[in-house]
Order: sequence, then C-alpha cells, then structure tokens
Amino acid sequence: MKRCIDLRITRILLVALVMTGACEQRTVEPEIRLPALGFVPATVQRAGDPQAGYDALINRPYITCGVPYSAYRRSASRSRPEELLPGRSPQNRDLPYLFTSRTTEKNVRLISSNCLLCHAGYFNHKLIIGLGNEFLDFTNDPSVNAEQMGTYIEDEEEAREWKKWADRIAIIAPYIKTDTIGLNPAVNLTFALMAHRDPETLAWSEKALMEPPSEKPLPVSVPPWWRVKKKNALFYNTEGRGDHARIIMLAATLCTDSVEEARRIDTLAADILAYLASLEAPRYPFSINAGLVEKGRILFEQHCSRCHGSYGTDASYPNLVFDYAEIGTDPGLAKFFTSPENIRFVRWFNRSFFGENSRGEPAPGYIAPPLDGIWATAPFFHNGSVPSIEGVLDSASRPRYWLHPEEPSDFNQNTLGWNHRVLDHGKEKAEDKNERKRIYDTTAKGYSNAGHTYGDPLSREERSALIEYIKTL
Amino acid sequence: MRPMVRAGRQILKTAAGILVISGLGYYLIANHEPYPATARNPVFLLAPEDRDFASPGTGRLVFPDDHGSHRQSGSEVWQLIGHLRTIEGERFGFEATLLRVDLDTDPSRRRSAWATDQIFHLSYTITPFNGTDIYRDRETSRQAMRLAGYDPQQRKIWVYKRELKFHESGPQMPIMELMIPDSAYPARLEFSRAKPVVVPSFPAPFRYYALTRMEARGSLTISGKDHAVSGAAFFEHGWGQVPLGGGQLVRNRFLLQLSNGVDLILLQSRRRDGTGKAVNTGLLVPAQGKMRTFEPDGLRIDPSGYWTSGASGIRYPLRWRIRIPEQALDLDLEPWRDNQESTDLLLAWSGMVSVSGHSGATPVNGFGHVQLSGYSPPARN
Repeated sequence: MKRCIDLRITRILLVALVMTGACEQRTVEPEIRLPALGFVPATVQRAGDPQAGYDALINRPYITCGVPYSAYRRSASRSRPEELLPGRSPQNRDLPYLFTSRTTEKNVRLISSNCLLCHAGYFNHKLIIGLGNEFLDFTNDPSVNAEQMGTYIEDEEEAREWKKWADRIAIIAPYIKTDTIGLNPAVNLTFALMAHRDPETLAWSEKALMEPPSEKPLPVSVPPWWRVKKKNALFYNTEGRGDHARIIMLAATLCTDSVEEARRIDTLAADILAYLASLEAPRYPFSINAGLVEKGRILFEQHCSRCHGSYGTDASYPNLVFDYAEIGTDPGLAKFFTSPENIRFVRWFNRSFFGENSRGEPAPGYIAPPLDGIWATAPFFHNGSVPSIEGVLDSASRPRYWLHPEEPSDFNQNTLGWNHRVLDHGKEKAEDKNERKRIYDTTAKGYSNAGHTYGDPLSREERSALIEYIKTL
Repeated sequence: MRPMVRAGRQILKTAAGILVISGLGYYLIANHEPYPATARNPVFLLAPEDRDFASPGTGRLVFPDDHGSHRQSGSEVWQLIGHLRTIEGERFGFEATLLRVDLDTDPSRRRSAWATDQIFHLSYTITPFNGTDIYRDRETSRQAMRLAGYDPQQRKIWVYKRELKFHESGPQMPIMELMIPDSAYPARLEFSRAKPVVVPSFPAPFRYYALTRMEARGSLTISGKDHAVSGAAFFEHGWGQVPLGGGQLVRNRFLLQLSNGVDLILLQSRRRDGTGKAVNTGLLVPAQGKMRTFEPDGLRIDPSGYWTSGASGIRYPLRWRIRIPEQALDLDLEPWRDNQESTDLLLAWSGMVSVSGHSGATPVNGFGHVQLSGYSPPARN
C-alpha cells in the first residue's frame, strides 16, 4: 500500500516539475505535498469569539457583490417567520436567513447570499444552522435568472452592481450546473473562481488565467458544521490543513477582488470559525427504543469506533483518513483532487493569500467523519449516494436508482434517512425534466454507492440496535 | 411549512429557470408618447419597492377559479392573442391585454368613493393581414364605483363595459369570452380549449400558466362592417411579482402556433447596453403529449432583418430565424407589416408574424405574435 501511495506522489511531483520547467519565465512553483494516509495531525487554530462569529456570520457582508435591494424587493415576497434569525442587525432583520445586506460606498444597498445558503437546513420543520442543505437545486443554468434580475433595475449605480454580480455568475455558470437536485457544486465553483483570479493579487479576470475545471462537477453532499470542532483538517479529502479560518474564507472568493479586501474579511474569519467549532449536533427529536441502545453501543464500539470515534463521557475522535480503495466508496472525488490534471488548483491555493497560513493537502482517500448528529444528515457518503443509515449499514439494500424527495420533512425514523422511491431506471427514462433532476443514478461516474460494507456481516437485529444507538449521537 | 426556500429567492441563489412571462407585463399608465430611454420607467412609481406581497404559492392550480384575479399577490396580467379568419378568407390578428396594477394605497383611509388600490387596464388591437391600418383601443379605470374590477361570482373582469368572462370547462364549451361592445371596433369572441393548460415550473416570484392553443370564434366590427370570424388563440395569465417591462433588459418574446400542432413560447433577453450574453429560454407544447422546456443552449434565436421606426427612431429586429436542434425545427418569422410599434403601454414593437420553415424534412407554417421591448431610441445630439 505504502509503495502505491509513494508512486502516486512521485507522479504528481513529476508533473509539477514538468509544468514548472515548461514555463521558464515563471516563478518556480512550490512543491505539492500529498499527505500520508492515516492520522491527520492537528494544527493550532487562531483564537476567536463564537458570539462575535455568529454576529459576523449572519450580519457582516463577507460576500460583497450581489443584487440591488430594490430588485430583490421587487422579485421576492415577504419572509416567512421560520426564515428569520435572532440576532440580526437592523438592515438584515427582515431578510431570510440565507441573505445578508451590504451598502456600498456609493450608497447602493446589495443583497448577497451568505454561508447559510448551503450550511443551514431544515429537519423536522426546524431550521438548523450548520446542517447541510441537501435540497438546493443547481440543475439549471444560474445565469438565466441572474440576467433576468436586470428587469427590476432602473438606477444606473444599481445597474453597475447588478452587472458585476451577473457577469461573475455568467462566468462560473458552466462549472456549477449539477444534474441531480441536492448535490452541491462548491468544489467546482471554487476551482472556477480560482481560474479567474490571480493568486498573488486576487484580481478578477474575465478571461481564465489557467485552465478551468471540468464542466461536470462531481457530486458532493454538504457536511454538517458541527464536525469542524473535531476534525484536524477540513473537507472530505482532508485538503484543508493549517489555519482553518483562512480556508473557510474561500467562500468569499466570488467577489473578493484584492488582498486588501481579503485581509479585511479575514478579521472576521477566526470568530466565525470559533462559532462553527462551538456548534453541537442537534438532539434526536423523536422517540428512541432505550432497550436497544446499550446493545447498539456495544456493536458501535466493536464495529465503528476505530474509525469514527467514540461518544458519550469518554468521547474521542481519531482523525483518520483512509485510502479510497480500502473504504471502497466512490473514488472520484479523491482522485479528482489528487490527479495531476487538477493539482493546479491546489498550487493556486498554496500560492495565494489563502495559503499563507494554510495548505491544500488532499489525501488520496476519505476521512472517516465524526458521527455526531449523523441521523440528521441524509443522504450519506461524500457523494450523497445512500439515502438512509440503514443503507449505509447494509450495502445490499442500497437502491441503484432513487428519487430525491422534495421535502426534508420526509424522514423515516426506522431507516434514519429519507423516505424515497426506488426506481428501476435511470435518468434516460424519466417522465419529464423535473423527475430527471430528482433521479439519483448510482451507476453514473462519481455517483457510486459502493463500499463501506462494514455493516454487512451484522444481522438485522444488530443493525436495528445500532440504529437506535446512532439516534443518541 | 415548506422548508425549501421560496422560489422567488432562488433567483438570487444560482438556481434557475425560465421566465416565460417576461415581456408580457407591458404595464403602464397611459403614455402616448414614447418615453425617453433615460426616463425612469413609470411603472416603478406604481409598484413601490417596499411593498410586501404574499407569495403566489406553488400549489396546484384550480380552474376556472385560477383564471380569475389573485388580489393578494401583487399585480396581474391576462393576455389573449389570436389569428382569425372570415369565411371569405380575410385574416385578422388580435391582441387583448388586461392588467391589474396593485397600488401602494389604502383606500380605507379615504372617505371618497373614488378611493382605490387597484387599476385595471384593457388594451385591444386588431391587425388586418392586408392593408396598412391597425385598430387599437383601450380603457383604464379604477376599482371603485364599479368602474372596473373582478367579480368572483360571475368570474368576470371588467373595465367599464368591456369584459373578460371565464366559464366551467366542458366539451366544446367556451371557457372564456371577450366582449368589447363600446369600442369603435366592437368585438365579441369566445374561446374553447384545444389543448390542456400548461404550467411551467420555474423559480420565479410569480405564477404563470398558458393555454397555448384555443379555438376562437365570434365577430369583429371594423369601419362599420361586421365580420364573422373563427381561428386559433393563445391565452396567458400571470400574477405575483410579474417582471415589469423596462429595466436593463431588451426582451424579444415569441408566441408561435405551427401547422403541425406544435406551439412555442420563447424568450430572448439581453442587456440594453450590449454587455453580457443573450439568454434564450422557452417551452414547446406538442400536438399531443407533455410540454418540454429548453436549456439556453438548446435554442438559437437570430435576427435576420431590421426596420427603423419613423416615430421613435428605434431600429427593431423584425425578421427572425429560430432553430431548435433537438426538435429539428428551423423557422423563419416575417412580420405581417413592419410598422406594428405600440406606444400604448411601454414603447415596444408588438405584432403579428407569419411563420414558415421545416420540422425535420417536413415543411411547416403558422402564425405568431412577437413582442420586442426595452429598445432605446438613438441618443439625441
């Protein structure tokens, strides 16, 4: 195994050297180091104030371009009570949780999406900050509606701001269109933005400065924020190492056009990270069969704890990243990050402001995540290919084709996941466009539901007990 | 509760869809003169930005009730477009647009019986295929003193004596009637359904549906001469935060009915200043079967000929070529006449076109209606 990894690292370094050699006029690129598998070492994080972080997260405009408020008002109806957040500043008070207001130097009020667009979701009719939103629909071309917003704008200064935002959306649109509802194109979005920014100055370029990513984003499920406190590296492949606060600032790259602006936003980052690290998983809101919990705990410690950690009074989390071949889950994402063709994005990160105190070091595998609140986070695996915990524990029961539900309230307490319709066909036999985008096809590249077969040897009763215990996490 | 974020907000979210009704909202207060490109679109004075409206919802539509007015959801548009023939073969195009503009007022605070919070506007155009005349008429009034309004019992929208009435659906039964008794060009037309209602699903802050093909029959009176007519018609209805014409966009909108039974609703939007890229969206309703929508790259909409208005100075693209590779459709659009510029609501070219072309190897033809809005007159020195 070790030899195999060494060979991979050598190949990547070789490509990096070849690429460097081909550009004699350019600065010698720093070496890209692929981390070892196994334990992910910890890095001391910047101190921050969680309360100030919450305020920054929901009130401060870290994404600085957006839609003029007047156009927002003309295109949106009033916020519903369940969309409003406590602690919002006066100019954000009436906005739904996923939007933040900013007033420019020329007095144009803008509305921008904030982090909660992807990182807040509903469970049991309650909005949970930190729960990944698995119901966003990125299957359409976003530039269509970005352009249509122009119909609501008259003022010339507002028009200038709208065009800036719509131009950015038009440029990234080809890279963030998914084919299945709920899957998140954040990785491709980030890479597309990198392709249009100078890593040294962060200046935006309409023309790509390096080859953009593929126009087919790999499917990614949004992990919950409450894992942040336990993990020594961010993201599924542990590519976010070092100063995590700086890494999460990548979310602002749509509009951050200079290092000076980035440093200003960075003053919020340590507090925001401290807030994320303060988040606890929600408590299971339904009944639990207490008689099975202890049996489930014993099974969990026998079969799951080595990789996923232990919970309760003597909680621990081992921070282990495993070779994708060993886990057997879809290798697409890990291969994508570590492939010679895509290493340019890691290199961009490491050369940029974002890499000053942090490093892009994707492992050729997947970290075994902490399982706090795992019952709330369907669908499962990094690609969201398995709609329930029952399927995670019994690979034979995983559907090959399934229909993504329309509502997160469609929760099944027995299987710990979404109620879903199993289909006998993929997207090609969909009745219409709406059904097509809801069909999860596990035979597609990057969408496999294979691997993680560790629960297969368990009996049905043992799996039931394990599920009862998992409800307590 | 619907935990999914409201459709209207998805515009900001990079989720997307189609705004097929865009361009239909040719609102306005009476304005006979073309307004200069730099002027603020007066409709924004009527729809203040700080007004809250209820979401138009996403539930199943119920007819004929949903043909009627949706008072709680902001403004509303109904549009009928048709192609009529007399038994002698004389051809007419017609367009009737009804608007309900929600005002930012509270009539209960005023004692006057004239107090209102809604304006109704009905514009009506007859375009003979031959000749040069276009017959336009319109009425605007307030919902007060029974001058205009919507009566849910009778399912009737009226502006003075002009009415659009809706009926229960039945075999061969008219589902709506348009009555224009008091115009210089009186008309009485009834419409029966030839295809089911289509309700496109798209993230937008308004609801929209269309009857892309109805059978029309009735009578028109022009210059004192009565014409018994029959033909085909489109009907569209939208309510909520319907995009108001103007803003930063030029919009070219096409409603086409083809001889092979296919109907198309297409929209091309681009920025007035020429920056950005044109965005094409649209839907197709086949002779039988389900509606389908197109991705922006699934459509080509290209101008092939221009005309400059002597009145406004605007250069409009009036001849078009439309290609839909997935459907093997290749269509040419030719206006019935060049000068169909309208200054009734917003300044726009809004008129009838003939369609010819091919569906695969099979020739097709048809009629259509094109709306070109957002164009600017040339800058004055």
